[in-house]
Amino acid sequence: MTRHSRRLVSNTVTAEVVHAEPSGRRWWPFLVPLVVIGLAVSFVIPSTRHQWALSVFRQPTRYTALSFNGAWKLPSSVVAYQPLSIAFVIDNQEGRTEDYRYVITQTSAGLTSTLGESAETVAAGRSHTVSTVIRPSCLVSPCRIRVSLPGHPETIDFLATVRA
Amino acid sequence: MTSTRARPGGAAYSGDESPPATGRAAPARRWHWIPFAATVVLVLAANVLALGGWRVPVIGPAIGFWFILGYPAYLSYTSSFWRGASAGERAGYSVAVVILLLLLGGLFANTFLPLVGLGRPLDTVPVVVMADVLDVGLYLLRRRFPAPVRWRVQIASAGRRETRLIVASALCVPLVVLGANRLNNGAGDQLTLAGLACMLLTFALLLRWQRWVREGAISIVIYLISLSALLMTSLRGWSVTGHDIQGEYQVFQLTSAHGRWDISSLPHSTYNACLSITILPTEISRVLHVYDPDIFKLCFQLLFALCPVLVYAISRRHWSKLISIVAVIYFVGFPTFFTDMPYENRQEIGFLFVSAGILAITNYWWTTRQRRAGLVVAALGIELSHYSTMYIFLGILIVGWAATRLAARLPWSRRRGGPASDRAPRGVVGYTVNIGSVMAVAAILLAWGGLATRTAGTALSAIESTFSSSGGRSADVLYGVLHGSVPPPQVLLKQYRQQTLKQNAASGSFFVPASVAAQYPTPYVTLPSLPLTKVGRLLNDHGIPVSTVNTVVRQGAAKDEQLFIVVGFVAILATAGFRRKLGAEFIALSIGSIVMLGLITLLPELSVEYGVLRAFQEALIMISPMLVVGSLTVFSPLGEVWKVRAATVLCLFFFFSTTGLMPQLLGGYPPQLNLNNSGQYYNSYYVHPQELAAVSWLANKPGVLPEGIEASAPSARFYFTAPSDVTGKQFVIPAFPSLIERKSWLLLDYATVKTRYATVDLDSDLVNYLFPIALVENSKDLVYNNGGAEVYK
Repeated sequence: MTRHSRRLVSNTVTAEVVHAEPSGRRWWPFLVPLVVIGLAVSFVIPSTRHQWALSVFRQPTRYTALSFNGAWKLPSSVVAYQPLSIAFVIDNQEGRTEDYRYVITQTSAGLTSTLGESAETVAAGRSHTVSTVIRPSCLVSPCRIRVSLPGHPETIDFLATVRA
Repeated sequence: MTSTRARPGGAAYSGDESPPATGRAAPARRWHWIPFAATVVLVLAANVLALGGWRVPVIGPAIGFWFILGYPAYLSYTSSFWRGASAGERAGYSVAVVILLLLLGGLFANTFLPLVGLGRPLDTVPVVVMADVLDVGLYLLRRRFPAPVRWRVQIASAGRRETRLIVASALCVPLVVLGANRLNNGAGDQLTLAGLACMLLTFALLLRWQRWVREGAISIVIYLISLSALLMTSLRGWSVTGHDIQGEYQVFQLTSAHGRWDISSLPHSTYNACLSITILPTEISRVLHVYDPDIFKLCFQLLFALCPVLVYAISRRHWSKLISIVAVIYFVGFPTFFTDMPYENRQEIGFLFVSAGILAITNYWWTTRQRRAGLVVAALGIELSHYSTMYIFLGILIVGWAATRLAARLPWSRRRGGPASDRAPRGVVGYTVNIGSVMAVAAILLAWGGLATRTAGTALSAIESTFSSSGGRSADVLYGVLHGSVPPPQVLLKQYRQQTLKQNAASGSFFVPASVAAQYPTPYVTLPSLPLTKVGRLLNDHGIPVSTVNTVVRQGAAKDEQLFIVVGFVAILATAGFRRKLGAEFIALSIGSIVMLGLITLLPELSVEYGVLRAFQEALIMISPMLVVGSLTVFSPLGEVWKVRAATVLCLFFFFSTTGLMPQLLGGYPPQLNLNNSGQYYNSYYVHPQELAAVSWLANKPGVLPEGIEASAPSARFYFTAPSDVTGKQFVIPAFPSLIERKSWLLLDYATVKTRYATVDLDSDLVNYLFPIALVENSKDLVYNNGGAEVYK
């Protein structure tokens, strides 16, 4: 550090003086009304109103949840052509009433076949439990039983071994 | 009070600053009973709202915050305890005292009220009574020791530039708040970018106009900009978002749900020992009645934004306004400040006490005994808030004390003659940090960390493993000038996979067999960078590699800052004027900060356990002015005027880069969470509503507790924190493909479901890999799916 720079740092340290300001024009009497008018206009125009909504309020997240009832006690084995009870829940968080079509399929040894299908209407924010009986026809383990909602990406499934 | 008094050993300070020459006359004080009546009405309103449990949007929480924190801090601020202190310093002491009183009051109630039959001592009624006692007690104390502040005179005398700066900095706050909301709603980054640009411009104007701006106004501007920087990260996500904050929120909810803090309720969590995230947020939530995550996301940020103001006050002890403002810009612009601190609430409160402690040590208006008392009180606050911060603080004190002792024995030191105190700043007799005060601080640590909460064992084991193992080091050390080598993430991932496969094979049938898991590779992946913007493409087309420029600037900022600290430190040691100005004790404590930072960087286990970047942020509280002196020294060949310009422009340029403004405008750099819905932090820490829905679904299922839960790392996002679910007995462990349990519940997060990119935490570094979903599909049942989260059993 040079002698000059030392002096500069030292001088600025002790020179704690607030300088007088030169007088100038006030800007707020012009700026504030402009801002208020701009804001008012933005609330009137639909596209900017939507932008305000995005900036101020939480927008709901839309989704559908699909789950097994009794997920902790799903069957680990099936007997071909014997009835099997399953229950699952469709939870509608899409923000509007939805008509859900559900399909239950089985997949075994690369072959997939439909075990049942139906449709349910679920109101927004509500959930609906579907209880049904299927008769899997798998002959080879593992047999994958899958529930899907055509038109929605959500699926659930379980694997079972085939008992004679 | 408008007198300006010369401060021993440092700059001239005005306790309650005199207005500038152009100030307008203050209106006469009439209706002096109105403030008192309004205060009584507000206190009553706060009591009614809190006890009634009514939720009045915005107004209710505002009154509650004023009641439990704002008003007590104001009463302390306007008392004569802090004579001679600047506005920012008084605010720091006042807020720190109120927080400490709330911590101690809560601890007292928690300990003794159950003895008289009150099983929930942190319920609304005891907390409101405690806040009433605090308000009334401080009011009576202030009546006895008043130091009224003439607010109206201060406000009326605000200069044109001061008003502009305060308005500009205040504008940053709504910009970043609305900007965070937009991003949370899936919209763009425009408002946050505007907020960042506004912060940069305001800092630039503050530097240019600093001669015309009073200390109080500078403190307000620093506070508002710091608050903006914190909120742009803390408000990301509609629920609790971030790393440590997930564990912090769990212990907060545990305390809140049980109406009592109990160290044994979560025996494996050291977080539970931190009263700053257990008792303090519970007390605040009882009075405010807000959505609980907002206590951390908003209220704690309102408190911590004071820390840079205190850093400014510490710097102003010895340095000019210009140097102190630049020091604060470095402090606020350091990425840890705005990307990590909002996720480490216990450390935020700890840093407030550290800053207050350093201010107490260097408060030359106080007697040595008062300074030592202030140090010990601050240390108590640090220990109750965050034990790790206390270890570093104690380390700084010990090294500082040893350095002063050593310096006194050096031949050149003895040659000059005189006792050690002669080398303290003018007018100061005796060092604050002596063996007694160090022992007192150590005793606090042992009493709370060793006996009461038994958290000291964690630190001891970290120190032990530092010297006994050759464990991994955090990749954060790569930002260091002398970083040594750290294995690349690919190697770490490969090693971890092999290690976990071995562990699996040795565990019998507990996991999905190692032979099966080994068939599914987990290749390392790099997350995509931001696409180049128009400006970025233009630069790229002209031969400027934007990605490289961004990386070089970011690395350069990190390394230059360290270089400047070293140069500044050498310049200070080599210049007699600086040594006299700072005093031996301050220099010794700065050495302590640097030594602790060096230890954490160089010792592997400490870099993982504590974090190099957090240590650097803590060190900057004290040594950021040295950084500025270093940059001025480096630029000194440019001459008196241009070296100042170069140092300030470089500082602002670093702020432009490190806050994410530059990478966002150019592209070609990893996305930052405060500006994007992508990137490492977004994938790892952002909690989506679908994930919360999955946790909520899981919480209601029988068999969850005995069979355990695995979740995509970082798994802390999936802790059960709902008041009805939180027990502290559910353990959510991070899932890795080669260690998937046969019977556990496995929760896959949004990023894994949507992109198949998963994360594993290796030595505190997040390493990304491609998750082998087929392994899980072929081994487990998919029992819950909402498109954003999946649960397997």
